[in-house]
Amino acid sequence: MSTSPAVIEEEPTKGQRLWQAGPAAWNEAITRPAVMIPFFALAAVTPLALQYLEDNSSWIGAQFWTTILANCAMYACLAISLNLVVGYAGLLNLGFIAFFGIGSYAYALVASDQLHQHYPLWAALLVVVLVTLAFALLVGVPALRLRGDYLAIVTLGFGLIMRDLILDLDRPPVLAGHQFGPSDLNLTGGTNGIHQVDPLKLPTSLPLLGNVAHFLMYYWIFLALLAIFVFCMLRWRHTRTGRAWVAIREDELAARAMGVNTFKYRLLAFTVSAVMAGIVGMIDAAFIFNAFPGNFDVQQTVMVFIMVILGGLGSIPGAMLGAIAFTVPPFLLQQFVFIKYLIISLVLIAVMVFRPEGLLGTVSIRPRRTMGGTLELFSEEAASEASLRTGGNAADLESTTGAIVPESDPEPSI
Amino acid sequence: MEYFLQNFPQQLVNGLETGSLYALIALGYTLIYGILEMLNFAHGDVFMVGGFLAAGVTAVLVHGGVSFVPGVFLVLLMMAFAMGGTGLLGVGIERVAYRPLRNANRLAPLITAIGVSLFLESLVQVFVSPAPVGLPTNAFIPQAALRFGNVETPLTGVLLFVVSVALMVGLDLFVFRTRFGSAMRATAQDREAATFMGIDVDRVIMVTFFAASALAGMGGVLYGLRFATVNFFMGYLLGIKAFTAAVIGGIGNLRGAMLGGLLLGVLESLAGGFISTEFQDAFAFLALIVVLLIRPQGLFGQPLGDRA
Amino acid sequence: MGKSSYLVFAAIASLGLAACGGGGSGGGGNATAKPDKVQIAAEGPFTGDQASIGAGALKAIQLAVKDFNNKGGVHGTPVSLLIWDDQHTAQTAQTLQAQGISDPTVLGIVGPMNSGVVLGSVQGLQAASPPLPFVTESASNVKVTDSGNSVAHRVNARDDAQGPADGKFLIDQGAKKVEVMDAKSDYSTALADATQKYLSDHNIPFQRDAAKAGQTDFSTIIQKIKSFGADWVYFADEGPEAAPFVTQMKQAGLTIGQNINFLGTDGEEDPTIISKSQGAYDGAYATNITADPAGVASAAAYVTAYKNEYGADSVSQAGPFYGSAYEAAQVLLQAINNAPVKNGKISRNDVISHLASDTFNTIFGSVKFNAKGDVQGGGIYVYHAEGSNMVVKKQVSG
Repeated sequence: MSTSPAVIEEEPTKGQRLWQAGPAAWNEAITRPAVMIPFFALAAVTPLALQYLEDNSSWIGAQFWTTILANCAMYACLAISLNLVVGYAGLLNLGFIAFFGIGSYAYALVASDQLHQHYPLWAALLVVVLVTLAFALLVGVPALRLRGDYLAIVTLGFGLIMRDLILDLDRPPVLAGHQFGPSDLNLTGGTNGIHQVDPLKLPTSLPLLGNVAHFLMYYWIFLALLAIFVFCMLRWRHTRTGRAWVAIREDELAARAMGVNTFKYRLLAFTVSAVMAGIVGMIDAAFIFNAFPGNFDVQQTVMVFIMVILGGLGSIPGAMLGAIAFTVPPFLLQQFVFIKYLIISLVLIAVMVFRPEGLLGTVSIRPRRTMGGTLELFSEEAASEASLRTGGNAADLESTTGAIVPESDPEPSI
Repeated sequence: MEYFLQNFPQQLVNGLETGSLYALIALGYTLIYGILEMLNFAHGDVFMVGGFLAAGVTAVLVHGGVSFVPGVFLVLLMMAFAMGGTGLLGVGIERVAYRPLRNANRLAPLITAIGVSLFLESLVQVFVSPAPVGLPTNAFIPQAALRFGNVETPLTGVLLFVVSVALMVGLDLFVFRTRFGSAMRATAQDREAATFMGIDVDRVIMVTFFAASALAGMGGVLYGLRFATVNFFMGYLLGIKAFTAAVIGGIGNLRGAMLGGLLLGVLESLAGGFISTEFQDAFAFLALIVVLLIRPQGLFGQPLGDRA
Repeated sequence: MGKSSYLVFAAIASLGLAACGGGGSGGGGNATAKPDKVQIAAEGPFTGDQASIGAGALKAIQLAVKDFNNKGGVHGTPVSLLIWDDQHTAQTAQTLQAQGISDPTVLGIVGPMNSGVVLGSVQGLQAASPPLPFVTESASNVKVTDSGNSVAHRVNARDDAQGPADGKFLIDQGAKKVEVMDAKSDYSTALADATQKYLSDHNIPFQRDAAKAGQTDFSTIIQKIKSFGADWVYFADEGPEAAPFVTQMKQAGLTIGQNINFLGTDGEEDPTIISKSQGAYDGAYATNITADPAGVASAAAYVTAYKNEYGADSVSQAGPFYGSAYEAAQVLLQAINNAPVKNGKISRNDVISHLASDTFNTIFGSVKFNAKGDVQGGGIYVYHAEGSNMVVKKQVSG
């Protein structure tokens, strides 16, 4: 465990060297195909192993644990989507979960008896993508001109408005005494949500396995989606777009000076992340057969934020680890119902205090004064002064690992 | 139109009352943000604890049968107790959850703040009450409404407004007129340089947390007196709204936070009174978003440190 | 129902129980057969923003299981209770229910408490093999039992019983202009809609407003009420918002019983609202889909036991459903107890058929479900705040 700089007399083993190399190297090690492919393969067969265990012992819980794993995979997808916008592009999107909700409701509206529409899968997917894209542009185009916490508050406000709309649009809105829309208008189902949403129109049996249980099928769907997300994110890192995001996050002024169209790249990160969340929302609605307002609280955004930051900002394996670390404990601790959040909150505080960069985190969203990025408060003059003081760090960006190497020389403590 | 004219003054007064509460909480957000550039997510829950401390004081004195306590004295005792208690709580939170992270990345303290918020809520829910707790304010505060023309408000409403404004003015004077205040502003502007100037930054931060949390605690007392009830969840939405108010006013700017709070309160009240109570929050937030889009730095966007 | 009919029911029920027992030992089956393991689950929003209704209900269910086990459990096997805190989301609810669906020793659920959560998860419970039955203590939406699912049961009354009953009560009391309010929750919104429809069908002018869960500042709405000139305020709510609301009404010059009247719903029959509102609530009415145990003679022992278990002031924090939660647990446990034990196992199918056919003996008298899973003759109780007590005025049949 020791990372002390004591003189090492023996030649360290490969494992020791890797441990000492720190999170950036761990990320690199984990995101190699030689690790990722077996990981996903193992994850895919885990429910079968659980089922085997249940069939051959007195233990019962294959369905329960597979469902929890499906939740983990779903939250991992969300965490990776949020990681794109916060960890890669440095945009504090506090209305993130609204896009998940919009995806869910968009799918529920075209795949249930709410509007008596039952679209085929591809058409439903198209609707979900277009609707979330439209909302993302509606919010993103004006809001992304704002910086830092102003962006945060606009997106938070958007999330709260969407929640109000979801709760209230089970009837025509009555504004200042005038009713808008026909009396039988019921778009969202109000507090009850939309029920009996169609499952995705996919075959329910697979070769060799025969009929696959609903929860197992959706675990695999989420896992496949996760694999796609991970693959895209890792690939994207190495492209011009990925480097532009990192440059913007690290020092927007410098990036702009280098000719990067910052607005374009920020909007791209914002909308792509929103559409990803929308697709996850669609699959979730099909998984739990409904679109439900409680799933889209601001508290849910907070939860996904915790996953991303706990796992380590900017780190793909970190986002997955964070999703597991924050999804599973409430289920493990369910018999301690009233004190479970006391325990979880204390552990959360302790973990962050002892590992502020997150479990697998490598990115330094640095303290304010040295930041020229979007998470800023002071005027542009102050920002440019700040970036002059620290010198451009955008140049030595580490772009091979899916994450950034931390600054070698942290600020002197005060 | 007639309806509007008849109801406007009352709804405006209602909005100013709510808004002064938002402003009081927003000041805490903005103070802490101004000095540390961190979002103290647990601030709303510190406010909640203040309300419960006030309820505790009344429970002990009124239910305990101490009937000779004069009302004014009891209210002052509540305020002192709640402000002291929440102030210390704030200092404690800073010491345990934020100070170790002062040089960490900016989002780490956000997460510990969420952790603290979750902890305080669970603590009160489990060990005090999951249901709202009442304060028998009629035992020590006159219940008659004050009336000005066709506008009326209870004494506690006036108290809420007057005490909030007095505290805001007091804080403003403290920050802009005292020696310690200039140390705070110096720290806000450049923590490192402030250290070189011989300012004890740790002490400044401690005092900042004490003041911000004590204001929130006072908010809790005034809330408890005005609405005669407190619950473990009351800090959540109010915290979000106060934070919004702080950003609207230009976060880091004290006067902006005050005006932002009042503005949000009035907007909400008018939206509820004249458009729809169901879409009240939606319209208030929509208006704020529009304000921000027109004036991206907030209404008075100039941080604490820039006004030295 | 009157007291005498309750006694008759109880007598019949006990005879029925005795007959069952006799039949068991007379038949070839092993009367002393003991199930290996019996589990039930309690599901509801036990933490989070709805904890004010959930936490007290969970404590009631825990007490019901404890009482049942103290009397010997299911033929000598103590029942263990799983706690499913769904946090008022369908997502968490379904994950938790997966634990019960695949485990045949989980024989039923007390809950889920929120209609939306029930509607969002009933499909999965029905599709389980065998289906996993539930008895909810508070989900009032008509669809809960109208969807034709054999697993769905509830001990509380339905919105379409309570809404018209409330509307009729308002009209009978001479309401001319009614302020209809809900609290944007599963329970209150659908109920306020049902009542509003009844009023509008009877040409009573109304104004609709919405409070929010946890709201304490009602000045905006109160000004609208004054401006509208309502003579009745109807507030569909689960209780937490009532005290600050009526306190502020009085401060604003709307005194219940003098220039305004007030009808609340479940949770608003809580006598502590009178003290929390400093007497402003005196004279208000409230209708309930479940009886308040504090006002029912047969439940007096339960209220005492609850206080002994959780402290003297626990009842004031217990929320509106701590009585019906105990009742629902009693019903489920008796159904399990009545089901046959085969090879040390009890089948959920048998629990469902016993839920459908048996009459249960609860703290509120006897309970029998109709074909849909609603309580037969489930009553709406009207309470009136008099002095520091809530007095049962009458019981309107549902």
